[in-house]
Amino acid sequence: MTPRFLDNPKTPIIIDASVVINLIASQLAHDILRSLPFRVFIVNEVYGEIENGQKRGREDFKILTNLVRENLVEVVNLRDMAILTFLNLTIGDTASTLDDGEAATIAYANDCNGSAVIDEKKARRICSQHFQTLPIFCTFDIFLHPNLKNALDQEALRNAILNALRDARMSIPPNYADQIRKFIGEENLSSYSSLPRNIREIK
Amino acid sequence: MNTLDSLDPRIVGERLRIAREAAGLTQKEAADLIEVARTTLVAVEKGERRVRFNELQGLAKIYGTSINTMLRSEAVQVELAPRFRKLEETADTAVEHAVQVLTNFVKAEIELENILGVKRSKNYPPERPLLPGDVSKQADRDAQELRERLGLGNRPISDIVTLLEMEFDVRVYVWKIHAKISGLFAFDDAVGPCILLNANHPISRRVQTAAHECGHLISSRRQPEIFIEEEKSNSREERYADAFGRALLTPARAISQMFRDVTAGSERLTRRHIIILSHYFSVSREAMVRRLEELGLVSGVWDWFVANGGITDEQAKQVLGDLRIVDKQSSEWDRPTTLRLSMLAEQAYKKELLSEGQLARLLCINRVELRHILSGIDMEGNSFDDAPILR
Repeated sequence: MTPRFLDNPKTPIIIDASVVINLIASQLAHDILRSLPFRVFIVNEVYGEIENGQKRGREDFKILTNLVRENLVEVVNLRDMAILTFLNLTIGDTASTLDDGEAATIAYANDCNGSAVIDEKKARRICSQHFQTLPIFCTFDIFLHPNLKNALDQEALRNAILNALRDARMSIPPNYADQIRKFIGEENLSSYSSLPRNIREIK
Repeated sequence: MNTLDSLDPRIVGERLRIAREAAGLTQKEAADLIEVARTTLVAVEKGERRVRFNELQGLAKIYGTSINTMLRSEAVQVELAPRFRKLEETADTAVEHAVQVLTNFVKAEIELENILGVKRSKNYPPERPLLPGDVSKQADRDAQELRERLGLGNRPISDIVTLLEMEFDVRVYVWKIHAKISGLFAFDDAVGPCILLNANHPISRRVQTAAHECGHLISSRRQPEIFIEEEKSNSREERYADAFGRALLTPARAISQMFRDVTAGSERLTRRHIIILSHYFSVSREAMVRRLEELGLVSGVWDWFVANGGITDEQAKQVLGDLRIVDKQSSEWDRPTTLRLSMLAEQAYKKELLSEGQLARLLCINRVELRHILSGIDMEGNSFDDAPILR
């Protein structure tokens, strides 16, 4: 599925744990979510995974509960056919299954004719193999959404992406590398040795 | 029929029981938390009744795990806890935590090895069960035999952890556990020998513990051990393991020879002598002095040093300079998991055999910690794809 802008406000957009963590690490999650033209959902399994992360000292859950309370993110439950899809994705051999949050995100999005936002390589591959009609996007489709260009201060957005790269070790899919390099700027990149190598290398 | 219903309910039940025990919950506690009758949970765990989806969701949540982790086909079931439980009279949370740490590491390592097709050899040292008679003499003999087998002669062992891992295929983990616990040892036919050492202890103490556990590996392999210094029993097995450890690290002939060489020309035994000897054999200064006393080479020395200010780290530094013992495992402290597990995880991730979510759960770390591991190893970046291929 060729990524295009998430632009249909009626399509439910279901985001995975990885995306939640990246957005929260950006420290601009509230403003970003407020500026998007569509509603963002997470499945209960993803909510539970972030909640579990508290035990390892992560602060993400506190921020996520704020986002939920302010109605910027809505938590949904699997039901009916989505449950069957979920079980197919979680029960089986290790190589062809996914963890609960990843599986539930795909199952729910597929069932409600929405779109899934997933960074995870294996999950995206399984999605494109078995759910060919399900549109899949990644965190950068949110960061680079045209609405954010208009609604947010660009310097703040640049810092947001850098925060996520540095604090959450967010990875950048190869096909976004050029765009990110251009947007963030060469001088900002070279000062971040913690950035992924394919981004730091100045061609 | 959905995939859940196609699984054998007895297998599902067994997996759920293991997950519940790993979470430290009784059947009553778990049943109450997911709001079902205890008898229902009992029936589910026995495989007499199929678990319902909402119950499964609830259980995954309260056990702090995921449905995929519990039910995927290659999920490895490692149960070391029951073996250790037999040793304790009362539940001790510190010990339970240590046992769970060991279990999690072993489980993760085996599952990753299986999925990557990594075959482990089983080059365990020959067993030498205890015979009647003096255990110290037996320990001495057996340690000597092991040294000869390893071609060590009289040389010191510079890194006993790596030696155990590489020569004897022992799974050794070093992690921060309660200070009172020196280590754990268990042997399981499927898993092999496993040792957990305490990262909170200084390296010399960890080395001693490792040598002690090696003694158990040789003589009482089938008995698991929770090694707590203050609670050590006086059993033959314990005395053997202690003597074996000493003989392995500080063999009598080597000590005598080196003692003679180091003290040649001196009238008195000095701190400098002890510092050099203990450094050479990678043991603590106290262990070295006690060994010298045991071998009859000196007498009453440790008590004298203790009464006269001991032998301090500052003094050791003055003598050794930068030659102090390198703590090879110390770089593990700040890692979210062990180096070996990190490398296995990175391979599995690169081959897309396990997702970020699956790996994070398997290693009991969060996604960001996992990303640090994966990006740390992948220092080579894309250019590594041109590197020579390993055949």
